[in-house]
Amino acid sequence: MGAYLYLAKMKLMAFLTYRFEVITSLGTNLIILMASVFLWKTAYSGTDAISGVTESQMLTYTIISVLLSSFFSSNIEHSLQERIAQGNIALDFLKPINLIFAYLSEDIGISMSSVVSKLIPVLIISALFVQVPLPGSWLSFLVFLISSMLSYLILWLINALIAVLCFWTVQLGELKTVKDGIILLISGKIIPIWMFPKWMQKVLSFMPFQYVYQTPLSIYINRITRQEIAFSLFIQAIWVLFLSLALIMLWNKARKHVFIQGG
Amino acid sequence: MDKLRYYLSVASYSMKLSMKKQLEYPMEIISCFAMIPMMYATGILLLYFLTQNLKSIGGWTFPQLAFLYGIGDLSHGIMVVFSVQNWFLDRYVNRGEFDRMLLRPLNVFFQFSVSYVNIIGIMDVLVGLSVFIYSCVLVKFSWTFSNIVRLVVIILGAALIRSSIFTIFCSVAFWTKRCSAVTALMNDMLERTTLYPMTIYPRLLQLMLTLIIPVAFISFFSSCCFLGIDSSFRLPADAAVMTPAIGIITFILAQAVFNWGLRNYESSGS
Repeated sequence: MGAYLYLAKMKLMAFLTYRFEVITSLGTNLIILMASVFLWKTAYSGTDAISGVTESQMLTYTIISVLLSSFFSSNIEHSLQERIAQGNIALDFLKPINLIFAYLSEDIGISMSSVVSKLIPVLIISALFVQVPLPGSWLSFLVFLISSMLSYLILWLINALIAVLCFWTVQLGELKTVKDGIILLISGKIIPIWMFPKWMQKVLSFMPFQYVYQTPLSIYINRITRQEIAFSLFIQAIWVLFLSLALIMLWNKARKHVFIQGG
Repeated sequence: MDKLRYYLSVASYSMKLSMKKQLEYPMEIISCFAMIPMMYATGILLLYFLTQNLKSIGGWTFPQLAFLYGIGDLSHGIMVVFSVQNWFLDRYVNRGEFDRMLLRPLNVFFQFSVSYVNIIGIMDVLVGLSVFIYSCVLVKFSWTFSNIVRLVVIILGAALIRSSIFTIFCSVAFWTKRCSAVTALMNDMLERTTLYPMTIYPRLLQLMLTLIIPVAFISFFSSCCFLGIDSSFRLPADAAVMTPAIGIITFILAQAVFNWGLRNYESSGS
């Protein structure tokens, strides 16, 4: 445990050192926040509720979505690609730790640094200029925390699965950008899935993406019933389990691939 | 005149060379060709789903929003072909690429501008063009000669504005040695601010996006002009004049900022 904590701490320190980068990526978050807030404000001029959601609920949804996305920053694709391209991966395999957990702790370190560098500033700014994003109730806030942890794992596992492809392709190219684009569209990050056509909602419920953003956000603004909450937490857990198994299988295959190459 | 012909021949050689370099890895190009259309689809789908629920955004219907998005997309595609190297200005700085350019008796900014032609970007242009033509059909655009000329001038001007914005902001790499975060920031900013009509933003922000970073000139004013929507700004001239004019002004500014940064350039020491 000590080793993983150390890794997470080192990443946190390294990220805070590049202050200029931190400020610019905070800017990115603020721009997305601003664009969405004004979009919804325009949309709600003249109506009280869209699909049963009020304006203040929708603004909270948007703010928390930006907060989550700043917390959900993961670096696994980039770091694994670099390690493979430069051959450092061979050294990693020599270390007496579980590499998947090591990479996960590094990324949790980055996310923790985002709490200081992005999440808190964005929260303060949106509380001052938009509204205080209060949860539906204390209970929904607690359940939201559990749900977003599962979301973090789902997203991280998806990223890790893509990253492992590097063992075969070395370069990821546009794949990461495409994945980000898909997540932007069908995870409920910008526009909630409940605004999509019915048949698409049905299709998307069988994919992991909406459980990354829409599920915790719906819980936060108290949009879904207790029964639905329990059910979606259950599905989140299933996805975590399924994606973990997939990652372990792919990882074991990838290890062998490295040895064939002579690492 | 001779000088111009000389510059043009250097540009064409340099661009051909960079294209040949990229064609060495055909698989990478093919894989990117398959991915890019999906990226553009997300923007238009977002607008579609939104308008399904909201009917209109700030008074703009889906066809009108698609037209706005189409102009933005096409100008983005052209920018990606000819000046994507702005995004990677930090690599030029860190690898000491400007050493070579500084030794030649030619304008460095010119050499930098023609040093790369992005073949993959052609896909961006094609997808941008199809989105744009689709949107033209939706708004029943009238294809008269004067409209076509205006369109071409506007889209080229818009691409020049986009490219110059990136040159100006990525020149920060001369000082900080990095610009990937700035590139990401500008990309997000340009995407968000050209996706929706400018009128959804408060007046102060509209002014900033017109006067400080001229995003509004990329697609908003010209769309208003063509679609006959009130932009709430009184422009001194038609969008077909304003967009290229702003493009040239930002381009001159971009060159000045680039040269200022170049004075600060120190070789990588390799």
